[in-house]
Amino acid sequence: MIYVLCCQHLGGASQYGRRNQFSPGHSLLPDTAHSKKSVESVEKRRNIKRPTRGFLSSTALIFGRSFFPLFAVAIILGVIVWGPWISLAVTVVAIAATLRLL
Amino acid sequence: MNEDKKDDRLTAGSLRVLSHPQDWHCAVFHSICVAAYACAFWLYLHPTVAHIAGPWSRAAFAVASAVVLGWISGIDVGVNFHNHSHRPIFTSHFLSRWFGRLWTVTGGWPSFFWEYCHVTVHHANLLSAEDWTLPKKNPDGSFENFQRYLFAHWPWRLTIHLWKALTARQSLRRRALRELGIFLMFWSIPFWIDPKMALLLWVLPHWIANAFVMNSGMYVQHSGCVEKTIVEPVRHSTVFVSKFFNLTMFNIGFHLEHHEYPRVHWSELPELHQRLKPVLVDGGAHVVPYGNYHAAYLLAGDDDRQKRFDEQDARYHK
Repeated sequence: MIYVLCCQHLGGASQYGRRNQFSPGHSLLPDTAHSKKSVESVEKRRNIKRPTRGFLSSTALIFGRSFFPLFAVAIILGVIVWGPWISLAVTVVAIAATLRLL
Repeated sequence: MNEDKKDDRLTAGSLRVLSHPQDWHCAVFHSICVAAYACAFWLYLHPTVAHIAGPWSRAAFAVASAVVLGWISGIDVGVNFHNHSHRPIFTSHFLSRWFGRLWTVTGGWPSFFWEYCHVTVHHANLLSAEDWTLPKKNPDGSFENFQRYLFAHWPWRLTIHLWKALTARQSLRRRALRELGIFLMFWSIPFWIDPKMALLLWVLPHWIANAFVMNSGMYVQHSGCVEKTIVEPVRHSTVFVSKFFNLTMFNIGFHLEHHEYPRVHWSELPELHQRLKPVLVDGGAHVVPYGNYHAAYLLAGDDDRQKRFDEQDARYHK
């Protein structure tokens, strides 16, 4: 089977460096030769706007990606406001919900 | 100034320090994790502020804090540092090396050891007999019991394997010793402050991070999978396509894509996934609509629950 897919602007999909030399077997994407020019092209193409940017600002995205650490900080610092038992209860509910839904 | 030129300029600015503009998110994530530990330590040392002067209230605080700290440490090392081990987030090698060394301390690992396990062992020998980072296999090829792997792997089995691997060559032995020394220097800090606090809010979270977050992640990502061959090129990993899971977990759900192209930046994995979608469907890749956590819940259960994990996402049927 031949997979005809382009790997441009994927951070140099076939640009295996030292840390990538172990990908076993054949590649799903063609092993194209990447010149310096194509690397520059990859860097430029990174700036192409992604659809998510229309909906979420980069700040909101940072908060979204840091959702779990922020939740942890709220649980820990929340103890000052609502005490340790509420924090423990919320933690148990959050774990149960995560295991069921995520 | 047009929008694209402005974007280019901003990116160029970011690239002076960071390898990729989105790597900013990795540093922020890690910083909040460190802040969470600092908050927990401070409150433990100021019990009246935290209303934890009594033994039971203190125990409740320790359990709640250890669980959430373990949870985020598991992500911070198992996913966030993991991405850094494939694609260092800084353009400076020095900065990447030292940030990495400090990064994994909050997960109970020397960074070099973690990198060795993941890149040199796991990626190089995925699902083969040499991949000792994964669960042991039963005679029928399936993984050992979920709970057994969670409790036996870290740190017990890992220590034995790492000892054998890292003492085999003198150069490796010397480096491993140096990295272990650097790690112990930072990791021991909470013990100097308060040994009891260190056990409750440092060691316990690290155990939770490794056993319940990282080990369960490793298990579900490759459970039911087979070694990559020409005949079965896309059945070595499961793909988890839950949007919220991937938003909060640096797109680690696109695991098959990651193993195929470890050098692709984590923020670009959804795009790679879309490009590979026909290949995945055609090759019979296992794709599920949820994330690692629900997969762990299914695989930790009885036979009926485990069978639900085998079900394919409706959008990825042949």
